Amino acid sequence: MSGLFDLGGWSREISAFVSDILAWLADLFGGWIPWFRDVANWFRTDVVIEFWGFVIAVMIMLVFAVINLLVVLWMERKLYGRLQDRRGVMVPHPWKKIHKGTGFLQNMADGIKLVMKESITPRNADKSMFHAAPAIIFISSVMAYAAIPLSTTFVLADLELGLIFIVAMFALSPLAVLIAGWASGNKYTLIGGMRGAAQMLAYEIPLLLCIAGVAIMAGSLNPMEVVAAQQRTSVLGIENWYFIPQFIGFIVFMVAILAELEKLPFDIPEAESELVEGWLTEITDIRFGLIFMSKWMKGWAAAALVVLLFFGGWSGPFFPQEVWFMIKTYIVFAFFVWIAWILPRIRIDQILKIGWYELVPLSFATILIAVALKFLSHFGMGWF
Amino acid sequence: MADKSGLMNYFLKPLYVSMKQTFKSLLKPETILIPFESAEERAALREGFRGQHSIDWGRCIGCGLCSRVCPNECITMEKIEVESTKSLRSTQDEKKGVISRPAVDIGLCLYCGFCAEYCPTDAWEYTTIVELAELKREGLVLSAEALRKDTEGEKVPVANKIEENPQLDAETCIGCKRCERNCPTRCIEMVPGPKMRKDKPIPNPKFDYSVCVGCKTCVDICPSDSLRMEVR
Amino acid sequence: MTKLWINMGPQHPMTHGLWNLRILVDGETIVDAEPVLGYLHRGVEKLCERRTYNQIIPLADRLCYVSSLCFAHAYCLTVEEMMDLEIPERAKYLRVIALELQRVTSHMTWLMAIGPDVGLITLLLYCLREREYFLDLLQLQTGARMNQNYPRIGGVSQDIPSNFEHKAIKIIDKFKVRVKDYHKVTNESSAFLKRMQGVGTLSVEDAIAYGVTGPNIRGSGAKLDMREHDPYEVYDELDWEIQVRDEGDSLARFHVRMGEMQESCKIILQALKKMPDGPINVKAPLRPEGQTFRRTEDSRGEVSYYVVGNGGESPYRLKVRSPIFCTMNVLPKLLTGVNVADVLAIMGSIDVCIGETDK
Repeated sequence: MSGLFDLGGWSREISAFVSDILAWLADLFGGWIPWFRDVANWFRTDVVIEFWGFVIAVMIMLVFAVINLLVVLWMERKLYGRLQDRRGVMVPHPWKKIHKGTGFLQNMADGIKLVMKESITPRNADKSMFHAAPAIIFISSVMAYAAIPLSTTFVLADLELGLIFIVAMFALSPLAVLIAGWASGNKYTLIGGMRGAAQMLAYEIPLLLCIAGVAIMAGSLNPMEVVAAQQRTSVLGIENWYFIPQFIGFIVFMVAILAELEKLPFDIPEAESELVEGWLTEITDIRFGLIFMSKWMKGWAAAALVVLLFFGGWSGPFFPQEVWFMIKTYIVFAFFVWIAWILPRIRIDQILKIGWYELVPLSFATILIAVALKFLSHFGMGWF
Repeated sequence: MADKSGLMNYFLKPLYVSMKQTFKSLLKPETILIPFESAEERAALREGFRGQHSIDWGRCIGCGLCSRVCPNECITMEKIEVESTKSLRSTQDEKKGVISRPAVDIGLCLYCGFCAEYCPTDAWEYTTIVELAELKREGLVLSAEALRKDTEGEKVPVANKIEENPQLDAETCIGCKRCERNCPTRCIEMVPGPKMRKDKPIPNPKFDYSVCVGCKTCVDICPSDSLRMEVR
Repeated sequence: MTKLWINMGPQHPMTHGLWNLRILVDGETIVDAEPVLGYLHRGVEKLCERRTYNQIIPLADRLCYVSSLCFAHAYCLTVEEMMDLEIPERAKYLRVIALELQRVTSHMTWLMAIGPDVGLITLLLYCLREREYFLDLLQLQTGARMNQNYPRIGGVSQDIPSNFEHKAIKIIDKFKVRVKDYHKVTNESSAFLKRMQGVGTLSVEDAIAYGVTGPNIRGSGAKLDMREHDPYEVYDELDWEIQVRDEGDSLARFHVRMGEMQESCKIILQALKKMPDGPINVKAPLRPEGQTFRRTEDSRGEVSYYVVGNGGESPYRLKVRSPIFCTMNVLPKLLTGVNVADVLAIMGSIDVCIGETDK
């Protein structure tokens, strides 16, 4: 099936439509004001239409990101509620008679609450850095959305190095963690920030090596190309989704991406029972809200990355591409939740040990497998 | 067990538990939605619970023993105006037209159950009402009227559960009869004592210990401190 | 890197109560540790001196809010011994049932606390779920969920209803199935083992020297249980085993407590079967004289009371020996040299209850 939503084309059309309206207005009133017609004509030039088309596309992507964030948040809360034999979020509003299926509103209530909270900056804090860290985290996690394609047509920026761009955006936030931890002027946050930096170093490498394995098999770092490569038929007679040939890589990638997200088995930078809230201890009000939001935005982006790399992206029968992609990402995200809420937090030295001693060698193995499969396929007896 | 290693051993079994539990509780959650469930289901949760107090006014004799045994001193005896009874067996309060009934400050109460345990007529009871929260502290002081329960229950014989009885020191008794008039069970009879005043014997209280509940009212009220509680 | 003093408490997720653990860290390693108590001191021993013997029972309940019945029972046992009082057989069995139910709920509280300590919040919810059933049983028997005020000097306050045995068997069966899930998420997964194994090793000699008792010393390999060595009530007539582990680390203490929950269920079922009919209370003298020392096995260790009565309404002196207060002394030794994250695994496995520690 083809894509349902042509992001680039549609936003260009909207832009062209708006400039047409402007041109019509210029025709209407143009006689009275001499330079008005020139301005309208300038609006109708391709460059301007292209530019506003891109701005509109960014807006659409942002709206999608925020709505998707609400869904993902609600899903995680509901899911781990059920996992813990609770009911999850419900009854956020005063009309208490209706209590089923209204937990979705809780996220908005939380957002409103966080906006209204008092903003506190500690006296010992390095103020500019302390305020900058939440912004860096939020911006970097939103930026990752730019390179994630939802279908062949629903993509903001079709980059040749899209996968590298997404991972680079992920890698920015531990830096902000370190900044926030150091700038807060608090012992807990300092230790939390240090832990964040150590963890980043250990888990960035296997993450990239796994992507390298996939990229070798697909022959490209462009997510579109990777998905296209997975839609070819393999020796098994089904679509060549990479989690079968690259199973080790898939496991390593899942572990590494959980560490990247600071989800629970690897949330030592903010280990709440040891360090109160870790590097987040001093951060209040909507800055905390932004970090909270970016956490789940990154969570979905990570799920999307897993789907793109290992589960054939949007390929699937009957439904449009976007629907398949969203279904797959939500299932992967549910998997994140299932793993994160049942495993204890692992100690810092053990995390580093797992990262360096187990994940890095395993990810070298994935590259080896990828190279071997590629090599064999040149002689016509490979996987493809 | 412990010697197994490898990446898969980290999460496979926990993952099985979490997925199993999610689907199990999606179909049939273990929790009950407390404000929304029916009254019967909520009552079933409180089976045997010591909740709010209730006092059977048909049985209560106003002896105040509950307020004496209460560890937190949260029970006060409230005076309530009723029609005065002028019978010979009435106490002084009853003749004045007041009875005293316990009122409880549940903000102080620790629900230990001693009041019900020591009540000589079994008038105290614990209901299973637990929704007692109030917005103000004053709302937590339950008056005697609020705790009233008006069943004309069959009268039970009074029993002394504290196992103490008042003892008289006849040397100092002045024969004022206040103990006799204030005794809630009317177990005191004034008899001529050993000491004489104006050639007449001073009347001394004589206790009917089969009816005495050990409430200490007489001891508290004695103007000459000639009564004391002693273990029977 | 310079060394930092870090306060874990009095307001900290680790503390499980109101106390302060000061640790000196060098990077992630702890160089020194110092427990600071006194934030929850209520002067219970002094309070007891102006209350009547009966009124102390609810106060003893509040020594430890997690296993309140054990403390109240130990007090009653001490005073009974001072009075030379022999309580009826049925009351003894009822006490054993209530005590073991309390032990299960207390160990459940420990298990649910160790979950979030090592980052496993789900375990907290699972344990709360099963603890609720045992609290239902306790409520049915004693009339309250916590601070039951159940034992009396000379017996117990009320008898169990007729449907109690049926319910108890049903709930214990359910618990035995559910506890398999706990093992799956804890000691059968190497993520949990990595946190607990070989952490906070306490040798028997140290444990004895510092006065550690209860499951903590049994985890170090000493077969010491007051229910067996200084038997009270009817524990010597029932068939159960002391849980002992030799390793002495956090995992050993974990296994001891998990095993004790199973043993407690066994004791409850046996006691329900063996329980004779009869009275549940005897009259106790009100103003006893004399002095006694008596020790019992709480869910955290050895509880002992020393009561002096001088013939008055209230005791002349009452001394409580609470298990965790003595265990606190060993913390600097246990915590020195471990990782910051290991503090949680160690403190979680020791099962701290500040109510009884600070008194």
